[in-house]
Amino acid sequence: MTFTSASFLLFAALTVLLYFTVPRRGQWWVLLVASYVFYLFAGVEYLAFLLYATVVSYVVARLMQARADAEDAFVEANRDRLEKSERKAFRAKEKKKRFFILVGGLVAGFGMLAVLKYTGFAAGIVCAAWTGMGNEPFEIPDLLLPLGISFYTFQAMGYLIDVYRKNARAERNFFRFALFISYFPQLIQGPISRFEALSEQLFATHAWDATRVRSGLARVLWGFFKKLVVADTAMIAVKTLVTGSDTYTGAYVFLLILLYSAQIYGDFTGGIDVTIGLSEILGIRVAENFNRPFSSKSTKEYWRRWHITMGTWFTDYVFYPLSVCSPMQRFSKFSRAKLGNAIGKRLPVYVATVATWFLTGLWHGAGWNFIVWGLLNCLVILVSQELTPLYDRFHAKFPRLVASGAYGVFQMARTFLLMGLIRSLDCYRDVGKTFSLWFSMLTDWNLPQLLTGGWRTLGLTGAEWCMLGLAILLVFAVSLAGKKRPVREWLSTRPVTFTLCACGLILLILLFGAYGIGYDASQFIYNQF
Amino acid sequence: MKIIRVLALLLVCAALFACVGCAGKPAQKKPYGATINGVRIELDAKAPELLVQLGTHTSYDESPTCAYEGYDKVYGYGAFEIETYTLGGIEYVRAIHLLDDTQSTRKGISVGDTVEAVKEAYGEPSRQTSLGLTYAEGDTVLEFLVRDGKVTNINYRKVVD
Amino acid sequence: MKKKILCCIGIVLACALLLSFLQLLVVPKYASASREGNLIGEYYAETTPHDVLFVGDCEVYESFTPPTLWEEYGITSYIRGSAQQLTWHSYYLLEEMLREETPKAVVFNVLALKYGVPQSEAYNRMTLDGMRWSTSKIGALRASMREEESFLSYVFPLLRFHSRWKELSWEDFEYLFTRAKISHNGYMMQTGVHPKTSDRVGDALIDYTLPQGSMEYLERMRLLCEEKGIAFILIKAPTNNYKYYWYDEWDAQVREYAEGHQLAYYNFIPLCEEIGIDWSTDTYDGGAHLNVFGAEKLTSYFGAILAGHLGLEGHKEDAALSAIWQEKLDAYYRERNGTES
Repeated sequence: MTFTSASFLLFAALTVLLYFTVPRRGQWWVLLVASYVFYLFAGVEYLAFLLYATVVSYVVARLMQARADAEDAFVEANRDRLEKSERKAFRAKEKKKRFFILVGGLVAGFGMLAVLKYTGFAAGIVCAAWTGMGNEPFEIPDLLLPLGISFYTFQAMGYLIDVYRKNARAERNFFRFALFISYFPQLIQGPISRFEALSEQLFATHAWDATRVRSGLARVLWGFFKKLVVADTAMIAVKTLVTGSDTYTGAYVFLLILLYSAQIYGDFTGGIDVTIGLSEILGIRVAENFNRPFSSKSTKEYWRRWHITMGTWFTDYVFYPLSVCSPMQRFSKFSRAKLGNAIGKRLPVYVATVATWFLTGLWHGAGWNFIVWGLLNCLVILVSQELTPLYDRFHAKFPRLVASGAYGVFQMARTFLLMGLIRSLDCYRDVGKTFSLWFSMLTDWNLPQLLTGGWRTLGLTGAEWCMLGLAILLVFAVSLAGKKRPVREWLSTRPVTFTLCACGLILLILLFGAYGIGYDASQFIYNQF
Repeated sequence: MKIIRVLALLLVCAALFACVGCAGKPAQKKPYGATINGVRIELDAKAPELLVQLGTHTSYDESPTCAYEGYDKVYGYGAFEIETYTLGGIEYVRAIHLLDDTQSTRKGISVGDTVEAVKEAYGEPSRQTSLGLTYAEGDTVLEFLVRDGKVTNINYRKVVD
Repeated sequence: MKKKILCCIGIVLACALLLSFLQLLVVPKYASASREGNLIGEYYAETTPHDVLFVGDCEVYESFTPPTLWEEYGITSYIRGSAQQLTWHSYYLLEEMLREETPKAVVFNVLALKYGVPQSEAYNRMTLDGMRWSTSKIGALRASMREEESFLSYVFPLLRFHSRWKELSWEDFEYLFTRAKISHNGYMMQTGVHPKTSDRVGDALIDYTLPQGSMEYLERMRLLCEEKGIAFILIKAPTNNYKYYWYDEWDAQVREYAEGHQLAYYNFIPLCEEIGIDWSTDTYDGGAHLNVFGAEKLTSYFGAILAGHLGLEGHKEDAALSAIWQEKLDAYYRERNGTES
C-alpha cells in the first residue's frame, strides 16, 4: 500500500477516525494496530522481520536497563562503603557487561539487515571471483527484502545505543515499544526517529484540533503534489534516459541530473510531507527530515539539510563513537608521532569520515554504485575541508563579491550540480558507465539535438514538459516563500485562502498527477532503502 | 457513548481488515519469449526492429481488431511465425509459433520431441490435456501441442487477446 | 465566522463543479476513433419497446440491421452489442434491458463464449462506461475488472482519463454534454468492401472446452429469459477469418447446450451460400465482419426465421411506431447511400 494509493487514503482516514473516537488513553493502541495492519499490506511474510527486530531490541534494551538499574542501585546502596575509585571501577565493569549485551543486540539486528540486504551483493562478488578462477558460476540467492527494513532496523539499533549510553530508559511495555518501531507513517521511509523524542509524542493523548488537522492535511496534500505531479512525471523521462543511456549521452546526462534531482526531491520530500502531515493530524510531531536542501552552499551544509535524521544517526552512532574509540585514539597517537601534528591530527578524523560515508553508501543500497556514491560525497567534503584556507583567502580578497547575492546563487548552483552529478550513480547503477556518461558531457556536444527535438523522445509531450516545469517552479516558489515562515502556517490563518489553495491543489493533483493505468506504478524511492 | 465508541472501534477494525483482504499483490509479469535464429523475441516486445532482424517473411496474413485501428498480423517464415498486434501505431509481438524441428525453445525442446522431454525440461505443466501442455508465466503462456505423444506445434502467446 | 464558513462551502462546491466539468472534458468521446465506444449508451435514447433484442460482440452490431428487419418484416429490434463484449457484459446488459422492456426474443451471438476471463481494460471501458448506473452495471464491473483496474475509476472516470488533458481536441468540447450518434438501433454501418484473401484457419488449441466462466453467464441469460417467457436464441454470425474462427468443437458444445435446453441455435457459417453472402463483396475487412450489404442479406434471412419459424408478427399497421421507424429507416439509407451530410 503506497502512500499515494486510494487504499492508503481510506486506511489513513479510518485510522484518524478511530484514533479520535476511542478513549484517549487507548489512542496509541489504535496506532499500533493500524501500523501492523499497514505492514500486513506489504505481505504477511514481511511481518516476521519486523517482529524480530522489535523483540530483539526490546529484550536487549530491557537486559541492559536491568543491569544499569542494578548497577545504580548497588552504587547507591554502597555509596558509603565504596571509595570513588571503586565505584568508578564497578561502573566501568558494568558498562563493559552492558556493552557485550549491546554488541549482541547490534549483531542480531544488523545481522538480519546484512543477511537480507547484502547477501546477494556479497555472493555476487564471491561468484565473480570464483568464476574468475575458472570455476562454474553458482546461483546467487535472491532474498526477500522487507519493506522499510533499513529504516526500522536503524531506529531500533539507535534506541539500543541510546539505552546503553543511558540517554534513554528502556521501555517496559512491549506494545508501546512495538509502536515506536512500527509507527506506520514513518515505517517505510523514515524519518529515523529517536525514542526519547518520538515516544513522548506517541504515548501522549491528543485531542482533535481543527487548526492542526487542517495544517496536517495541507502538508499531506502538498506531499502528494510533489510526489504525483513532480516526481512521477519527471520519472517518465528519467526512466527513458536511463534505459536508453547508450544513446542519451552528453547534454542528456545533464538533463538527467536536473530531472532526477527534481524526481528524488519530489519523491522523498513528498513522502516525508505525507508522514509529517499525517502525524500532525494525529497530534504527533515527527522530526523534520529536510530543510530546503537545494539552497545549500556547500556539500557539508547540504548533508545537514537533506535526510537530516539519517545524517545525524550516522554522526551520533558511527562517526563520533568511531572517532573517540580507543583503537582510533591509539591510531591518532601513532599517526601524530609518525606523520607530524598537522597530518596526524587529521588522519583519524578522515578515517572515521571515510568509514561513515562508506556505511552511508552501503545503507542506501547493496551495490558498488552506492558505495562509490558515498565515497564521492566523502571526497568532496574532505577536499572542501582541505581547501578551506584557500577559500578563506579568496573570501578575504573579494569581500564584496562574496557578500553579493550572485555569489550565493553560484555556490548553491555549484552544490546542487555537484550533488546531482554524484546522485546520478543512483540512476545508472553501473559505476563505469556512469563515469563514461559524465565524461560524455565534455565530449558529446549534442545540446542542439536535445533542444531541437530530442526532448520529444523522452516519453513526455510538449504539454507535459511545460506542466512539469511549472510544477517545479511552484515547488521552488513555495520553498522560497517559506524561508522565514512556512506557507502553510501563513495559510492556516486565512481559512478562505486556505480552502481555495487546498481545492486548487487537489484539482492539480487529480488532473496532472502521474497515477493510474497508463503510468507505471512507482513506489517511493526511499521505500527500497 | 461508550457503546458508540466500542461499535465504532469494531466497525473500523472490520474495515481495516477488509482493506487488508482487498490488498492483492500484482502479478509478476515475466513474459515468455523465444530465441529464433539468434534473435531474442519476447512477447509484448516492439516488433518492427525484430522483424527486420528476422529477414523477409514468406507469408503474411492480417485481421482487423474490433474497434481499434490497426491490424493483427501474422508473418510467416516457414519454420516459424510471428504474430503481432498494433497499439498506438506501434506493432508488438502477440505470439510466436514454432512449426518444425529446425527451431527449438530456450530449453531445447522442438517439434517432434516427446511429452516426457517437455516435462523434463519445463517441469509439471500448469495445464495438460490430451491435445497438449501449457506453461503459464504472468500474462503469457508457452503451449506444446501434442499428437501421438510427440510435439507438433510450439506456441508462445499472450493469455488475453 | 459564518461568512467564512459559507465562503469555504462555496469554494468546495465550485471545486466539485469544476471537477465534474473536467471529468466530462477528459473522458473519451469515441466520436472519430473507436466509435464503438458510444454504442452501449445509445440504447437509452430509445422511446419504444422492441420485439427482438440482440446481445453480443462485434458480430451482432456488424451483422444485423434493425432497419432492414423493420422494413422487410415490421419487426422492431435493438442490438446491444459492443466491441469484444464478453458474455457477462451481455448478461448484465440484458438484465438491465429486461427491467425496462419484455421482448419476444433475445438473440445471443456465441463467439464471446470463448473468453472465460476479462480480456482488456479498453474493451471493458467501451462497454461499461456507456451503461447507466444500476445494480446491473455494478455486477458487470465486478465481473469484468482486470487486476489493474479499480472500481473507483469507473465511478469517477476522471481518475482513469485525467492524462487525456494533454491530448484534448475540439471533439472533446463539441461532445461535452452529448455524444455523436453512430448506430442504427445498435447497428454500426460499414459500407466499405475489402474482400477475403487469406485462407488461413484458426490455430490448433490444446483445449476446446468452452470456459466455465462464460458458460455460466450463458446459463444465467437463459434463465433470465425463461423467467420472463422470452425466446432465447443462440446464433453464430458468419465470419471467414482466422482470428474470429469458430471451431467445430465449440459448435458441438453450443449445439449440445441448445438441444439440452430446447433452444434454437443457428450457426450461419455453413449457411453462407444459402444466405447469399459473397466474401469478395460482403465484407469490409477480409472476412472478419460483414459490411452493410452482407448484413442486409443475413438480416433478411434471419428475419424470415423470426417471422416464420418463431412466429414474430410485424407492427407496420401501427402508425405511431411506423412513423418512428420510418425516421430510422431514412437515416439508415442516408448513411448507406452516402447522402448523409
